[in-house]
Amino acid sequence: MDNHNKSDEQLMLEYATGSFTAFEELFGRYNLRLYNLFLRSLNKTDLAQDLLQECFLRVIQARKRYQPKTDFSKWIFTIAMNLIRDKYREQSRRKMTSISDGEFLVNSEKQLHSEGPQKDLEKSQIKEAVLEAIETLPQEQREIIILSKYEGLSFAEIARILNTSPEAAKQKAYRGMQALKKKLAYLEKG
Amino acid sequence: MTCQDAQSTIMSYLAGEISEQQETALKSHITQCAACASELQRFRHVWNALDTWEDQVVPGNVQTRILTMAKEAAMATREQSQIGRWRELQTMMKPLAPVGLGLLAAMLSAGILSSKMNLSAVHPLSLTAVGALWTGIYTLIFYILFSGKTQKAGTWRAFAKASIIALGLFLGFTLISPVPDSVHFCRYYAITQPILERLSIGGSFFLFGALYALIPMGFAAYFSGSRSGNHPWIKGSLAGIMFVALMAPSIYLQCAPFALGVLLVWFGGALVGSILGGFAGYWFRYRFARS
Repeated sequence: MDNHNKSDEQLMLEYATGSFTAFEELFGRYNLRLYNLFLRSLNKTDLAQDLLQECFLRVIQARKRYQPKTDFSKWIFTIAMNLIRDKYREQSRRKMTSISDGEFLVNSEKQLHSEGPQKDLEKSQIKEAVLEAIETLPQEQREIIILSKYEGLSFAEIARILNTSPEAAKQKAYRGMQALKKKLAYLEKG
Repeated sequence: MTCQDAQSTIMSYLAGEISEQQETALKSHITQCAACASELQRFRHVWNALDTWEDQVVPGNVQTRILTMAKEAAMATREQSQIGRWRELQTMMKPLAPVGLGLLAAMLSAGILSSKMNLSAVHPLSLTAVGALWTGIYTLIFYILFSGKTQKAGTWRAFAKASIIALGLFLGFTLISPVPDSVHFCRYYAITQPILERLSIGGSFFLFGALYALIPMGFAAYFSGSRSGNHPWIKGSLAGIMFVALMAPSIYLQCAPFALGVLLVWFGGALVGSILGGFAGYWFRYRFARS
């Protein structure tokens, strides 16, 4: 059977027995999604690259322990989210001790609010505004919105990855969207 | 649908997870509720604004690094599985090794005997049966020789080793001069004639059978007796019995031209000689060469 037609779980099992082409197919299916998940969650290219490498390294290292009954997508996204959360924790520790990081955040907030309504906002400017608005969201709301909007995961899938209920995930997404709505209200007028 | 229901449905609607029934209910609600309609429109606006944050491609060098790691790991897995398969084959073949060696040793032994005597006196069926029996005994001894690594297995291995060395020496003596030739020679040799004259032909075969067993077994037990210690009688007897079992087919083949009585006395002599030799070897080793 062609690798394209195989399930993620089947490919992972084949990789565990030494098939590199099976890994290539899996990599092709997930690298872009994971890379952009890291980028959107951390908003730092070098960190996203490191975490992408770390995430696949964990998959490689765990290849022999992988159980086929485990949903591969859930498994790899759980690894990714754990990496992101570790990084958040690391960053929040650093923020407590570093003045420069704190300044960056305050400046971002100021910039967002001081911009106010603008006509003819370019796409890149909207993107910049969206990016900064998302960055100000509480961690869980941000994660859920990113996983739903960009990764196309259902709330049930997100709930499984983040160890919560689909309703709670939906509720947090709603609250996050409300916060974004307020922060990006000026875009509507533009 | 209430406004609260509408709020909890909005996220499902935006994420495309809404059922047709819920969608109809939501649309019906917003036609009547301006607040929810406005909320939905604003949410949709923000949701669409998120699209501006487009996907970025993973840099080539990062892709290469990850794929290289994965390739190396896959190669290592394949190598390990090949080693694993080889080990599996070895494990599978291990029980066959004593059989192969047993067959080889039996053929070699029969070859040595046939160079000194005419085996055509033995019926082909008997010859085949003796060959099979000899292979079986050798297999058993080799099996013991390659058996486990416990202390107990080690003791049995030492007996098996002694018996195989003894048989090698015995076949060596046989190659120089088979027992019947030696008996014949000594019965007519001036110095030994007076001694052997006092013995019957059966007695002579008993004596030579015993000597041909005692000397090799004594040497073998002495030189392989690293585990010698207490109870040299028991140890000597066990090693001696193994040696006699290995030697039995050879005695049978060499006795082919003689009567059954000769075979029995020779066999009896060999048994006594083996046990005595085993005892002597282990005792001497224990007494004089303890290390």
